[in-house]
Amino acid sequence: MANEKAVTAAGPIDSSEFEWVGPNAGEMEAISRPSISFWKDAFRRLRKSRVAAFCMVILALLILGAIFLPIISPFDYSRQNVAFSNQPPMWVDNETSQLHLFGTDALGRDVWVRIWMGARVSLTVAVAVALIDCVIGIIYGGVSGYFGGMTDNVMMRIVEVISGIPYLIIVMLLMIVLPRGIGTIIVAYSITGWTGMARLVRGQVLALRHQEFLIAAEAMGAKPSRIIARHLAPNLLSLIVVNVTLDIPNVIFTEAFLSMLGLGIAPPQSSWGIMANDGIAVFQIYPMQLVYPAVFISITMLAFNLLGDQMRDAFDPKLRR
Amino acid sequence: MPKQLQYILKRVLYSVITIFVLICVTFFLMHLMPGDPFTGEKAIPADVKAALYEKYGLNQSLPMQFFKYVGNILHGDFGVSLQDKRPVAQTIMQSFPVSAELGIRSLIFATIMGLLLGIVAAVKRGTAWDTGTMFLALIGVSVPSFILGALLQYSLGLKLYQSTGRQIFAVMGWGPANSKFLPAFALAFGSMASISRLMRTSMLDVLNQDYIRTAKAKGLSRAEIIWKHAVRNAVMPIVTIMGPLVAAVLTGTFVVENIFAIPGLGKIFVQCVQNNDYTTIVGTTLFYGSFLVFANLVVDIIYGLLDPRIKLGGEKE
Amino acid sequence: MERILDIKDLEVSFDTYAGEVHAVRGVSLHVDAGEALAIVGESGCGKSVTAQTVMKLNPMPPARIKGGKIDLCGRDIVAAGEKEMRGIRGQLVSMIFQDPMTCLNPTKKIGKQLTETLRKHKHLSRKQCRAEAVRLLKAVQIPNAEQRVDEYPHEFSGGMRQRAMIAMALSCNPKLLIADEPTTALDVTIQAQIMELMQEIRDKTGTSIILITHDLGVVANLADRVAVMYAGKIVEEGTARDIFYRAAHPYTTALLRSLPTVETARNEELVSIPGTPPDLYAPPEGCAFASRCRHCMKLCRHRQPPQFTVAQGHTAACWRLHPDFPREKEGN
Repeated sequence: MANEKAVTAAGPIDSSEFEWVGPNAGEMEAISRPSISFWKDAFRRLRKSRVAAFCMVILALLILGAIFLPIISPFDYSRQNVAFSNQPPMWVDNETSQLHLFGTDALGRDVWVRIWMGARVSLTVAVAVALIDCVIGIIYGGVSGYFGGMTDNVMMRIVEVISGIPYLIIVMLLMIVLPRGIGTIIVAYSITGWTGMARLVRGQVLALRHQEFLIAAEAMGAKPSRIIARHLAPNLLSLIVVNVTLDIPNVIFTEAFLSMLGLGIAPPQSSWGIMANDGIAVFQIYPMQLVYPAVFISITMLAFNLLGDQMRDAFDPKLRR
Repeated sequence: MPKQLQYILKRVLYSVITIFVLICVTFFLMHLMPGDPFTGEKAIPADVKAALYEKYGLNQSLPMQFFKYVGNILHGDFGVSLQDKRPVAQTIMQSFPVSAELGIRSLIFATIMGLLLGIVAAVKRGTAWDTGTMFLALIGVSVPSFILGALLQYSLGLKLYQSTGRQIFAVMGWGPANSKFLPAFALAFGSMASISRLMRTSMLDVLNQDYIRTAKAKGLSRAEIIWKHAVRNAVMPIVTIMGPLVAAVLTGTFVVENIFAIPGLGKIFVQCVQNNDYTTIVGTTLFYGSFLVFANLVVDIIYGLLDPRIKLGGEKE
Repeated sequence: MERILDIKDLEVSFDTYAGEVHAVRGVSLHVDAGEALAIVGESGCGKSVTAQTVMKLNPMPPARIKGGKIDLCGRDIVAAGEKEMRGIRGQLVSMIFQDPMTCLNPTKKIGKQLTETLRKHKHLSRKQCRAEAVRLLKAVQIPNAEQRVDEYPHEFSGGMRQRAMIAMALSCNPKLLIADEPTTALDVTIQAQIMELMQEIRDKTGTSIILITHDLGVVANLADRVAVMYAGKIVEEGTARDIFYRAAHPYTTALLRSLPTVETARNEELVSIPGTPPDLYAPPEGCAFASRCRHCMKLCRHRQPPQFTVAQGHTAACWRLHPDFPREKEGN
């Protein structure tokens, strides 16, 4: 018989095996992989990333240092002592017998304290500007995307023109014209920087309004607030968080850049940009005075950039496992 | 063809509007400045002053002044420097070519190297090449160009000279061949980093597309697939950031010129800021701003020409 | 009859983050010269993976050939290196895919894409290539071939794009053409046209065809033989008539029953097979269809059925075909 091979291969089969049992409703739709919610998956990935953890530690240290170190330091950031200018690191001050960890600058000020005061300025400005950009961007983009049609058209045209104007040019002009101060800086930096966020948010809101799953949710009777909370929010939130994180290093850069042009914060206040500017002038003789602020600027920007990258990867739905 | 033209005209219109807004803003800001352009150390004879006021409409109402201002600009008259009393336009024309050369060298270097590094990182994904180039790129994005410039000045300029006795890379000035390398490289590094990161992402995206699978199914070699199919499509998003990149490079020249003592427009600008030479400041910013808007326009047009899908309509977004 | 393709006991797995996916679990197939074989099955049953393995298109780090042999015109595919495969792809065997829009390079002209392999292997001049491209387009009945050659993919309609893909696949006269769901993304009327085109190609050029689809209806006119796949295995194989009129496996009969016909009454409920295919991370011990099969027996749950012969050239993997199967209990 043609089936001999198959039959012998199967071996002897007990007749009870042929007893009918029928389909199994319980096993029919077995899905062996548990499905995880979007947030849980994203946070899991983020927590696993050693790089992200490392960045967060660095940033935490910076923030803590900025808050506490100037307080516990024996020197005041504006205290000048020209007799002891340009001293190398780890030099003991003759007057107070205290250690200048990073030495002194051209005016005899303690570099260590100025670095951490500068951290306060640079970080505060950066975070403030990023948040303001974020808020304005969300409101503007959200309104534009939500209403669509003519409103959206007009609002986006305005954004196009505003973002067409070179950012640094506007900021430079503003800094020239307005009185120097932290408040001014924050206003000047954020006045045109929100356009990127506005575009992003508007794009998301527009796309999500027409998404099929939203229509499906509505069809299933979900209330608008629920729709917003469970569907729009995760998508938007991740975008916002990533953008704010990546916006911060840009502001730090802008601050440093403008300080280079002499458009930074007014003395005796210090910011990393001012210190870098001062440092470049004497770089060839006293290199450390540039190295300290440069290293701090670079590490901060690096940490935020890396963290932003990791977060963007963590929140990317296409990379879900 | 008409659709393509439509797209170009639209972009031109936006550029014109943007430049106009820029003029308004600079005009407005200039008028917030204390004093008028002609208060200086030297006293100007009354009749000359009157004539100058007439020319620049300073004794007329604000709207009239504005019109005069715009009119002057369109004639290429950017006013007179408060510092050395020379026409601003002349100063710009003299020093801009130097900045332009620096910028162009940087851009070309950044683009070519950036694209290559991005392609290598994507093709050799997950290997040491990938991590290495991306780490380099991360540094490039995080370390500002002026800091890099100072470091290079110190290490490759000074130290090298001290150890070898030969000035391999000039530390200052602009002219002899060895003076152009360090500043251009310092300026280019950041842009090169951005381009390589974007190119890597773009390449990875493209390599996942179905038509790459088709190309493989046709029996094309890896090299052929990369260079004949992938790169062409991956480059598109890079073109869109060329506008902001040109802006970054150009504004970057401001600081780099100061560090390397290069007689370009950036160096002049910084001097003007320190000397409160408002007319030059305004003139320079207006010039730079317009130039950047124009550069963006050119990039947009190039993108429109490159993407065959735009040729027959449809937005690039 | 020359045997073009012979696959024996092929096993292919994917190593993913969450574990090993047993995509193909012991598949044996063959295609002779001038023959058209249809592989039918639901999404995820392993038909595409099998086809792509023949051309080694699956990226080999996640994908892995665990076992089996693939013989293509005397060439050992499993052992072949990448360089050898490059000579085989496009030349000996070609493939067309489901969505012609994404499968064609949007920034390259159609003509160039058509003759790329020709230029590479036969070193034709640019003029010769263009002439050949026009000839190919005409062969697949694309009107205005002379102008169409210089156009871009987005200027073609869906049906025309698929024709162009077919033309591209046939440019080097391969012995075997694999079509992976070529009509799924197209309108029903265009579907018929494409199927007709493929029939013509098979008749005129003698190219063997493997048609992969989840739609039995499409299969009827073109296929000489049909293989039905489920959960990484072939559950039934035979001629088209065997499958349509004498289906032996419960899955095949269920598939046939779910096809609405002209006679289906308007308000008659469509029959579907309750349940879903098993997760291939942990394939079931016994017959993969057991939990959904109305004829399921105790045996089926824990032992995988071998291929039993139903008739000459017609096999099915079902325990009900075992000689010891109690036929009196038939009717369940």
